[in-house]
Amino acid sequence: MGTNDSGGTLPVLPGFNCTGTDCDGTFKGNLQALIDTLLTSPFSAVQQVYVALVPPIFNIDGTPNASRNLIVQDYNRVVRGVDGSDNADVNPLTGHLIGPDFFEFFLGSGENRSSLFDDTLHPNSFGHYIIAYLWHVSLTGDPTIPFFISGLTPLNYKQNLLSVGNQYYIDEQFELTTIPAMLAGGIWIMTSNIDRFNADPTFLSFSVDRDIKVYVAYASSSTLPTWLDPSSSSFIDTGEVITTSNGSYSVYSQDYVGSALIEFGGNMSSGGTGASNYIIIVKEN
Amino acid sequence: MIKKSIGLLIFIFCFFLIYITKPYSQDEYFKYESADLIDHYFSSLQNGDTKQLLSMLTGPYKKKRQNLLENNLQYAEFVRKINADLTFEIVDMNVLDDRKIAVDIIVTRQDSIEKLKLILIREDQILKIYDEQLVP
Repeated sequence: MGTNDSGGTLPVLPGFNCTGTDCDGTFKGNLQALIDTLLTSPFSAVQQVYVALVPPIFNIDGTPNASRNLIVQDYNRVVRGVDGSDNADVNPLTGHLIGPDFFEFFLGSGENRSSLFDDTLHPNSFGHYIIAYLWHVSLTGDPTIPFFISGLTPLNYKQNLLSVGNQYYIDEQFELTTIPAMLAGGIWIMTSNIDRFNADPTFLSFSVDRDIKVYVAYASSSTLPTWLDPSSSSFIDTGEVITTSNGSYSVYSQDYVGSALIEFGGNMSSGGTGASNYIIIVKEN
Repeated sequence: MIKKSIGLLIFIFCFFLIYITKPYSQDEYFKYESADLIDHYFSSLQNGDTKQLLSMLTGPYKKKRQNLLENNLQYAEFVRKINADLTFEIVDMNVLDDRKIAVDIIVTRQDSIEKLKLILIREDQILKIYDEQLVP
């Protein structure tokens, strides 16, 4: 209930301020029926019902889907029981506690976090991992959530948790075959292989708020771009290789201290000749 | 020479006569009929004609939306408003069997593009919308 209700040709009416039969079939009416069912027999063991706020919807290019998000925000007003001007619903939803605010986390905080989504609707593995932590924060008050990167551009690129057998480009089916042990637990930035010809001096960027090590995996046996070449940059050659169904990638690393905006050139910028786009892995130091 | 020319003209005439009177195949007719229903459905969406919309639904999709379409007095206005600037394009049609057809549609509203798959079914000789699936 939530995201899918807001889409299609006949979206579900939110039902804020509805009373009586005007609530029939609305998001509020349906959610109230669900809460009431959970709080009554045969679910008598249920003590409390938490309702999370519905996450946003994105377009395929990572931009927010404004028209559907308007409906989603109305659903969230129903869950909260107040509208955008803090006016209370005349007939608010009852019997529930408010859970984590997924809309605020993935979009409302002023940052577009579509990089944690697999498609326009569904969070990816890393997004699900963070959602579990957001539930933990909501239920326990412990504010700890895992490290993730901010402000990733291009906007359609993804950050994800990958392992052997996973696809590592957003637009190609190639799979990871072997991963060096030093990359375990790292955040993978899934790039697009169609961007392999990009020669912009600043093409990819992201921000971090702590000490990190960035690994860039570049198609082996290619000429490196100067921004990655250990002879002309601060990167060092780790001597390690990632192997894939699309050949191997040599791994270079660089440390960054504290908060930083990190920018890299395109795959073929400043002399790079890699036949496939590079991959990035970020780890906390 | 004249006989040959007349013979050729008769041949061409017969060929075109057969070509233009060739009947639709069953699948082609099914697709034609489906496109007509979809067209009718989208104009009812833009008019917020909930009674007409309900009459075009069946199966699980009707079950999911019947309450709103039948009983909620605010829904017609909501449907009209949400679909005011809607445009749609049928991008593919696949006949599933002699009663069912899947129609892939791209729906555009303001800044958003949505891919939908509508499953249509022939029920008592009348074609209706059986299900709607969002394609992420």
